[in-house]
Amino acid sequence: MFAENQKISVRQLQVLLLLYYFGTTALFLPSDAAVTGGNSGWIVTILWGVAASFLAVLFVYLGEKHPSYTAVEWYRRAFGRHLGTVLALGLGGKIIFDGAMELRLFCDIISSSMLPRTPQWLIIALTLFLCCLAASYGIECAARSGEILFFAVLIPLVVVLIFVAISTNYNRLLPVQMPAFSSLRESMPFFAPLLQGFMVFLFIFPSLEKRRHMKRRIWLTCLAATGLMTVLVFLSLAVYGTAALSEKLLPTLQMMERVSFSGIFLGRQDLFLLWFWMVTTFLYVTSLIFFGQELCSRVFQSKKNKRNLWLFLFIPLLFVVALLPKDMAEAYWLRIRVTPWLSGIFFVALPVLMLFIDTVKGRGGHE
Amino acid sequence: MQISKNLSENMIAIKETFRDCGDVIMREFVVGSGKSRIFMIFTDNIVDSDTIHEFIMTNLMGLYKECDESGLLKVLMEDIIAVGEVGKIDTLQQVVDGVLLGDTVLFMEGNEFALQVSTKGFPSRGVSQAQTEVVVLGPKDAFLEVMATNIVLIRRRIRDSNLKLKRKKIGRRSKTDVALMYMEDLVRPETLRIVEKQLDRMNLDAILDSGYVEQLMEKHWSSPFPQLQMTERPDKAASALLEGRVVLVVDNTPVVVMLPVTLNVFFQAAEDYYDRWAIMSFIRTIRYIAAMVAIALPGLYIALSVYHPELIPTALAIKIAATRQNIPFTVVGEVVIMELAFELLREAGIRLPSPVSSTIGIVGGIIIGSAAVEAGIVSPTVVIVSALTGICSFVIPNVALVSGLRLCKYLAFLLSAVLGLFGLWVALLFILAHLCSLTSYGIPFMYPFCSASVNDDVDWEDTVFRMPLNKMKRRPIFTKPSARGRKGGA
Repeated sequence: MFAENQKISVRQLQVLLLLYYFGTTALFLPSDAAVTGGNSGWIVTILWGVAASFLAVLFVYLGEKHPSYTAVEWYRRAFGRHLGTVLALGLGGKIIFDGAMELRLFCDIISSSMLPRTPQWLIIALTLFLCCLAASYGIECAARSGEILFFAVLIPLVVVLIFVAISTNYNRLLPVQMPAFSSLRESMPFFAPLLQGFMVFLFIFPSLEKRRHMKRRIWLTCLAATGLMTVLVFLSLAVYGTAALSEKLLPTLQMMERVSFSGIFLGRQDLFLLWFWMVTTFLYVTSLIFFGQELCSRVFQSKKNKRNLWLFLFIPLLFVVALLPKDMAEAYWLRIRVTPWLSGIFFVALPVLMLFIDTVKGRGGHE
Repeated sequence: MQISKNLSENMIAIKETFRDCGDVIMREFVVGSGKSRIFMIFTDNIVDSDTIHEFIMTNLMGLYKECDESGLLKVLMEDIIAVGEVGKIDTLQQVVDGVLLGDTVLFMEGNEFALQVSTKGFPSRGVSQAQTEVVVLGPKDAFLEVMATNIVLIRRRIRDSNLKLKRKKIGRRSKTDVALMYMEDLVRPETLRIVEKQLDRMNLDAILDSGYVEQLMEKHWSSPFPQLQMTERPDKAASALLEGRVVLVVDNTPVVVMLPVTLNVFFQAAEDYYDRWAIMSFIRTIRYIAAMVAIALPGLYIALSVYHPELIPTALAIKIAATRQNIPFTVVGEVVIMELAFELLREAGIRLPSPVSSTIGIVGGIIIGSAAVEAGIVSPTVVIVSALTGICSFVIPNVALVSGLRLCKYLAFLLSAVLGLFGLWVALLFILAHLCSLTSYGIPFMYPFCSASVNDDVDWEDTVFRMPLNKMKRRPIFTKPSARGRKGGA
């Protein structure tokens, strides 16, 4: 009875990871890459993407050593019960912050481009309701949805990108320059949201079945996502040039507006492509809520069948935090300021430290 | 209550039990030299009178040999009653059950057992053509209300001793016969175990139709989507058995229940396997597209025409606007009117006899539609949208799934009317999340569109596309893992 075991396959994890990469980050990234990397913004994207993929491999390595652990057990084991619990609760805070900002940014985009007269709280509430509903079904449901939606959203996106690529003049990208180290350093906060999907590694290992060739598969997934993200940045730079791209708020969407398919029913495909980001936001926030429930269940050792009760904590918190920023600009500013620190602590520093402690104490065993 | 050795006591108990039951025939008679008293009981009209007269009564009176009371039972069973199925029963409850099932029960003086003789002979219509799963190619026979005939229709197609059948009686009052059929070497043992447990746990007055069984066995009872499949076609039931699925044949019902299911099986028609793979793959694709249109089209039309007209090419937008001139209702109002009219026509068409229902379809579809357009109540575009949505729902070969999709259509419609394209997306994601949360006996409802790696992705060969039969080398996920290989294709 494979459907009753709350497990997901590595393929489903790959799909989820790929879709997490393309949260609202992909909408802002080309502009940020142009600001910090200039003409070589696409190379910066490759470098950070490759670095992220190595970090993903580190997570898989840790996960394979402790396949029944989530972040809660990892932290408690490495740093002791009390400090571990504090760190786990801190991670809970990051979950709420990441989820709320993703919701807010997406709902702001919807509000400004599709429903200018609809109250924003209503859009946030409806999206949140949808995500909570899916989260209450468990991670299996999100994984299955991701597998199905992957083709529904990625194929149209790739088709549009191909058409953009065909109709673009690449002179603006010349000459190709390697980015300076300073620009790499400056770009770090803007590329930190690329790691947002890595939250999955902190919770998914107990829910994974058949971890065959996992390191290689996850690494390739991260590289594929990096490739697609690089294409987005590359094409945006080619279409608008560095100066114009730096001024644009949502260059990815605007770039898609430029393509018109003769004979097609739709006048503007950019709005329809927002469907892609709706899907990624839905899956990302759903997963975050599920992970939040999992975290609380494990920290407070509540019964598994009571897990959904934690929704009553997460729904109001996410809703309130999402409404805190005044507008999209403030939400984006907040994310750029806070995410690098939180991601640095929870996705880089702590995993490296845990690996170090494991190595020193000789803990964990490969399956 | 046990059967007594004293015949008079038994007779009193039986007469009390069947008091005022005019259709229950009781007869006491003596055989031989008048020493042996026999009490016979059966229910009129559900027995085969010829069997009772020729093989029980005639033989009893003509062939009876004197013997002592204790040996009477053995003599009757072995020498006199010339009916294939004869059994010993020892409780009055068994007597009552047997009599109401169409069997004849014989009590004998001095015996604490009675004889139950199979004399069933229900009035029944002959095997007729399928009404809801009509095919151009392939067999035309359909199940009946008689369970025995339905079992025969399946057995005729699978002459394999691995086809097993377990009988159960469900319903405190109806005591409806339910036959659980499965291929012993193909079925997943865990599925069989759960099904048997579910059947044993059913506790209600009566099972009047297989729909009762379906609803009581569904895990997610709140879902509008069917989680068990019903069919009136014996070939489809046989095919399900050969895929390792369980078939439940319920007495008095001309449809059988098949389980487990996935969404995919609801898009499969029996005919898909009787014609060439290329054309049937094309038709399957059309069915999937039709399902999407049936859910989303009215909502999409509202979202685009009310909230995002900029998404529609200018020429088309102008045409739509021109057709809406002088229409007194909003777009949402128009769609509501047309959808309601369509639902009413559909209901009227189902309830009326078939010659009249086709007239209703024509009158409703063409005359009322065009009259409404000419009267300026609705625009032609909305008529096209509603008609297309309706036609698309009829393309799907399963009525239960269509009902689920109809409800989803209204959800998409409602959210699109309130929130435009965003509302439509929310509705679609809601439906998808719900579908992904469903399972049927441990198998994800959306399999193989998700989790296909569990069976090495082979189940894709019979989904949106149907591969050639000789290429379908593996049985689907319903089969137990050790029996998934097929020799020489399907």
